[in-house]
Amino acid sequence: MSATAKHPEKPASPQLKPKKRTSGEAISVFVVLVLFVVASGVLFSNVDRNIDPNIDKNWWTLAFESRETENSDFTVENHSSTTRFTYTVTRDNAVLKTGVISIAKGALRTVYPALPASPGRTTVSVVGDDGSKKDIYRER
Amino acid sequence: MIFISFLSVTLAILFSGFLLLRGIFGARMPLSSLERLVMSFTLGIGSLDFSMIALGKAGILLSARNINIAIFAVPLVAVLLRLAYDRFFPSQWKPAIRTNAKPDNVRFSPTERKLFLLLIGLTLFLKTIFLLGTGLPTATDLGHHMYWSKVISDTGRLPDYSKSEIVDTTDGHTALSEPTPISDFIIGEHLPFAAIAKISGVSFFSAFPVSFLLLVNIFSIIALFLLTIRFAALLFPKTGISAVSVGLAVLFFAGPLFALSSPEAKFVSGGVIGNLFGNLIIPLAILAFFRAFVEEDSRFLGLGILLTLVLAYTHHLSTFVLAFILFGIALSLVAVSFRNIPGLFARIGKLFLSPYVILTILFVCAFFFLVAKPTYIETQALGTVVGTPSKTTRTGLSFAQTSGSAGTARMAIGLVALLIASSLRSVRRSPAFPFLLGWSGALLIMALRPGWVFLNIPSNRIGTYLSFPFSILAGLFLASFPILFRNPAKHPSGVFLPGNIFLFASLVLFSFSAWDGSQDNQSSLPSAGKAQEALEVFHASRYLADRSKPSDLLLKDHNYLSADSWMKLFFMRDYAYPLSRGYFKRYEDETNPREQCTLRMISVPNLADGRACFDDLHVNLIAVNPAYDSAQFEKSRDFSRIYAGTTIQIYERNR
Repeated sequence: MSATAKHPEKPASPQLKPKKRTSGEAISVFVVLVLFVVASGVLFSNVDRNIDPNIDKNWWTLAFESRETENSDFTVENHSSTTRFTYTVTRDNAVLKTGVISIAKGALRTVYPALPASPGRTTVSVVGDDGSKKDIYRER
Repeated sequence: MIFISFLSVTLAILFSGFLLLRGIFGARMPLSSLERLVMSFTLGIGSLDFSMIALGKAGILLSARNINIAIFAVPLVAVLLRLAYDRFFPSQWKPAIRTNAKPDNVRFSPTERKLFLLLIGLTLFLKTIFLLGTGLPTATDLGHHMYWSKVISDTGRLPDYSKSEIVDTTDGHTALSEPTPISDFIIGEHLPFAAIAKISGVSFFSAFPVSFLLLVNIFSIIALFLLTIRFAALLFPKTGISAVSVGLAVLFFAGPLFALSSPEAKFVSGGVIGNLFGNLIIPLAILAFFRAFVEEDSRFLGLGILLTLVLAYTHHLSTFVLAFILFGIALSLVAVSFRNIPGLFARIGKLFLSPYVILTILFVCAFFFLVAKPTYIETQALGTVVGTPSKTTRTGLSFAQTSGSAGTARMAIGLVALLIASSLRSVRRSPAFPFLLGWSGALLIMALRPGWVFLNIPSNRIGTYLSFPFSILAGLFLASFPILFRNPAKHPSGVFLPGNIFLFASLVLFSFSAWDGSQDNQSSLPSAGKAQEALEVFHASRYLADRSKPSDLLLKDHNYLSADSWMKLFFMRDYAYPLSRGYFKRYEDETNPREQCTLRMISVPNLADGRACFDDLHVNLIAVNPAYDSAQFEKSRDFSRIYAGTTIQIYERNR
């Protein structure tokens, strides 16, 4: 064999090839944004659920409908599993009105007791069928 | 639909920032895709802020249409100017762009891409789980900030940061003062949220503030990753370590580990808006200044100055911290270049004397002096943060406290990394070393010995800034561990660890980091959300707001009512309305005496002191948690109970 003859070249072994470094960043940018959109969607959905007064909640409120001291109209707003409420209106411990109201979950009901005008502390007590109780009062 | 609207506005901000970036750099941006993403978002926010401030100062209403124009006007002008410059400006007049950029450093291998997405995905997952647990937007700080954003959104005007306070009069009584300026709020914290709410119609009582802050937080972690890659490319140039792999090691420390602590997810749910923006802008500004210095590309210097300006209009404390960091970096550069200081100054001077930088500085000066100054400049609040520490909470943290703030594993490993780096000549000669040394050194001094630099700021606030440089240092150590102690040809440490010992040391290092970070995560997981309690407070607030009279004055309790700081969003009367009984310990703080009426009117309403406060201030409504504060009102004939919920009751003082 000639001294100048070259050895036949061996094919490059796949293991010897340098690791291919691609710009996968564009894909990374897209995936990061998608991940954020998913996370954000989950957070929005969670807050929407939590801010719904009826989902996984059990509460109700009692309040005077008006700020006027002569007005004894009151509202029960229900977000609980109880739907029947018994109310009692007293003035200085004398019972003036009683009644039972049904309020579905998520609804409210205003009661207009139409009380006589006289001085004293008017108290409205409401008791739910589950035993929960609230009362409000105002001086006239 | 609301969610889609929120996303649309967020993406619009991102796109507008991209246009601005395009205007600065031209079509061939020397930025990787991820750098473009994070820079675009930040510049988009900055552009929005400056445009809205300019519109507001010009008396133009900040309507949805005008804000939409504000988002795109400046970036579009920048792009058009850039196109005109590229096409029509004589090339002999164009300044030469010298850049030594090596973009290959930020090319991902497929494995690295998968690891990056895995770490980011895991980080997002952990933070989302945490945020789900908090239920509703209830955090105090977030409520305060969203009030100001709602002011902008409702009125279409820039806010007047002021509040009424209870003051003692000369005749021994108390009164509500006229509104006095507040320096703690900076406009950049509120404009993006106002813009999103105004354009998309999304309610502040939704996930949008927290989602937006989550995006800011994730981008700040990616910014740290990108900065690390640039550092690592110059710290390990011939070791065979991939700069991206080093970035991934840092991402490990900054992402899933300590994902829930302050200043991470806790700051997101807590609404510590300024800090979060600061944590995004600080590493980006350092990245810009670093690339300007290393690549001698003045465009990056201009970008760094612009980012610093955005920060100055967003968060005063972060701006102050960045200023100290840059000072520390400058000192470190001088120290490592002591043999050729004139050369160093000449190199930096050439960067400043370029049209890009001069134009940027002119813009900064014009905006600052002709349009608007940050509120803390106008109220001269800077004077309160410079000086000898005035309280015990400002005299510096102990080393243990500092470690707790930064994360023990990050701090411990980071300090070892700093020591080893300082001892290795090849690392000291790298241009990245003075940046890392200056950054970490400046923050350590600010946290441990604030008196040395005449700093009068709560030290625990400074401690939260330590996590970033020490994440980088810890990640650098983790990634270089094999090279430092195992590679016989390249172990510059001079120490060669036999196989078993090396493996054991690696396992210990990894386990310690993972354990410490996940412990921190575990201790941060919230208990069951207080969604129902917060809802009741919102319901009571709406009840009162619908029936309020101009003469009403409401006092509520901060100790036992959930989400009470959000009550002000229902009334929109004053930042300090409703009045608030604050934390009890604040009334006993002799170093910061405060009025006692808000305490007395709820705690002792029937005693002479309490009655006197009611008479002086004319407070007529009280909101409290009945589990703690109903008895004193029930036994008094001076009060009517007009609203009864489970966790909140409202009392009205009888006329």
